This record gives sequence, C-alpha cells and structure tokens, in this order.
Amino acid sequence: MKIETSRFGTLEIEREELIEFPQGMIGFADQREYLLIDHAPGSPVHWLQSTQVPGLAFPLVDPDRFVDGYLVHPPAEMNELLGSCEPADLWLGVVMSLPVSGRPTLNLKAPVVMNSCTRRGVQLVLDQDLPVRLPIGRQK
Amino acid sequence: MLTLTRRSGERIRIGSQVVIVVKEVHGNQVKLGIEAPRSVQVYREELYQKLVESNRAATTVESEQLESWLRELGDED
Repeated sequence: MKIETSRFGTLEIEREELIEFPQGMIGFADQREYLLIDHAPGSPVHWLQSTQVPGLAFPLVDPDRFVDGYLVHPPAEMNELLGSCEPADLWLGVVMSLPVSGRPTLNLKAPVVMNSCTRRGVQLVLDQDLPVRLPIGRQK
Repeated sequence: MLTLTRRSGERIRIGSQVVIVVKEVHGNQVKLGIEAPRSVQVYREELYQKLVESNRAATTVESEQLESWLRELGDED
C-alpha cells in the first residue's frame, strides 16, 4: 500500500508495518494508524508518522540515550490496551519537541509504548511525577 | 453545558460505565471519586492541556533545526 507523507514523500509499505493506536495520540484521537520510521540509520530520532495525515508525525527518541534512571511503571491498563501475544516485544520512546529557540525537550510524563507483536501502541500518562518538557543537551 | 447540583456522597453517572462521586466539599474545593473502565483516561484538565500542547509542538519540529541539533550531537561523540 502507498502512504503519503510530508517528510518522506510517498512510501510503499506492507500492511504488517502499520501500528494501530486505538486511542490515538493525546490530542489527536482521530488519527489511529501510524508507521515508525527511522530518521536515519542509527539516529536517536524515529518518526511516528500518521498514515492518514501526511503532515502529522511525532519525533520520538529512546530516552535511555539522554536520561538517567528513567524507569516507567506501566499502568495496569497498558496490557489491556496493547494486547498480548508471544513473543511480545515492547518498544518505548518519548516525544521530543524542538523549540525554535532553546534546547530540545522530552516528554517523560507521557511515553509512547508499542508492542511489535500485536502492532498496537499507546501514549501512556504515568502517575509518576515526571516533566512534560525536560530540556536535554547531549547524549550520555 | 449540563449543570447538576449534588451534595456530598451523591453521584453522577455518565453512560453505563462512568460514575463520579462527590466525596467531600470543603470551601471552594471538591474531592471527587471517579469510577471508569481502564480504557477511559481520566486526567486533570491542566495536565491534559499540557500534554496536548507538548504533542502539538512536537509535530512542528523543523527539519533544518533537527538536523543541526543532530549534527551537534554527532560532534560531541
């Protein structure tokens, strides 16, 4: 199938590559189908690209590359939302913002978790007291 | 907007699965209990707005800026 994107042009992808977000991303409940695209090979940035809205893509980074001791206590509903199958492979990323002036920030309060087996994802909101905009500088 | 008056201990039901209980009224503060299925996300409005704004901001990242930040990162390695 073909997918139009603003950042990457037209992509030819397999259905199996799609990731369903049953609740959408926070504030974007209508867009429920995404693709995860590497910014570049080995890059810390990955794009969660909507398959429905070409201009909608969230930059995600692996928090372990920037933050020490970020331990997520997943809420009880996570498994329900992601479904389970074996072997379940969970991938966790956090949404990055890059203000025009200033340093990039990471949203540690609401990480994105995807199950590569069920191809489902969710943006969690953690009960833990964590920043929505944590400024980051360099990689560890 | 539907407006209902409730006393402490009284409830409001939204659909068949969501119940809001007025637990305590104290001056201008109200303590509410919320029973909802796990799939229904319940947040304080301020937090929800912050999260929406943060997500919106993330979708407007400029490629050039991102590339220049990534180059900086690369130089530090």
